Amino acid sequence: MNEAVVMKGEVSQFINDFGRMPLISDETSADYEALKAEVFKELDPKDLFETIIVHEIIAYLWSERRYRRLRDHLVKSKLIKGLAKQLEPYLPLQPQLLKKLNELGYFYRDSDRAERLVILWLTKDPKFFKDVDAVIKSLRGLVHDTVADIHGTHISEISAFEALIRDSIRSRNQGLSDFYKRRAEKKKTSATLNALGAAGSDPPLEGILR
Amino acid sequence: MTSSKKILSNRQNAKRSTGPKSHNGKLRASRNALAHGLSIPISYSRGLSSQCKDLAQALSDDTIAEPHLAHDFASALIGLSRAREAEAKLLRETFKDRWLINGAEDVPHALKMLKAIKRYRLEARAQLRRFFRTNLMG
Repeated sequence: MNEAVVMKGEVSQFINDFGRMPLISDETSADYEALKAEVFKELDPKDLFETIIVHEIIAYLWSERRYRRLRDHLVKSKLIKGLAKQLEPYLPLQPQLLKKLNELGYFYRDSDRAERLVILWLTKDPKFFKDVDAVIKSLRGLVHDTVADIHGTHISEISAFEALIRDSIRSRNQGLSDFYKRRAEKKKTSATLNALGAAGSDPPLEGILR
Repeated sequence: MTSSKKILSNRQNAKRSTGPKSHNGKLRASRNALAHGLSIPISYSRGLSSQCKDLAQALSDDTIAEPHLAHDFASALIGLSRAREAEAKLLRETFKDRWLINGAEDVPHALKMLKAIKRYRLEARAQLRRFFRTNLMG
């Protein structure tokens, strides 16, 4: 939290907890802290209320990233299943690939082996990528057809994630607008107070003493 | 304008909507409110209520002079934290396995729940924004 923001112990503790987004698998607190530091540096909140708005902006930014990642996980999981199903009948024709897989200890059923190979292909595993890629490429249009099929079959889930992403962007922008509105209001108030305070100055000293 | 015939048939159809009939159905429906726990007001939960009271007290000692405003503010913040925690819990359970090899079928249900949780998050957020608009932005 910004050091310029001074708060009482309990409030400060709560705001610290409030600024800690509950994480899910695949997320690290280091990444969250990095995002937080970047946004804090950019907006530089000056008081408790600004700090809370900034925490909300960060939470929505994080949610946006999270929903994008989960949407991609969903598509990838369906892609794995779809590609594995198509690859399965061709596996017996790939003894070299199966031998390599067995060396790694993957003595599964054909369908599991096919899934494993697709995962290794998706993660660009250096030992397998080239060989699996060659098999997938030999089955022309396989990836495109599978992706098209996924989008057709799971359009409602994908659209639901897209809606969540859009909502996060909207909420984040609202937060940003609240932040700047509050800052403008604060500037106006402090300019008014400065003018009121300055009204007591001796006219000849105005501009010399601040 | 809805015709009287339509109104009558609507009323008769509505009489059939009397909820679950089987024992299992009733058991399942009795747990509906506990799906994510967000429909329970903060004041009904002993832990959250005392957390809200403590935070409101600390805020009114420190930043917000009016106790009732401090309470509204604290309750909005706790509402937001609670919704975020519920969302993370749901997603942690659904996306345990990164590749969703065994569990992709739970995604539609999780999305339905996410939509419900989002409503509570937006509600808490609206409460917070109302506080800002009324008390801090003139």
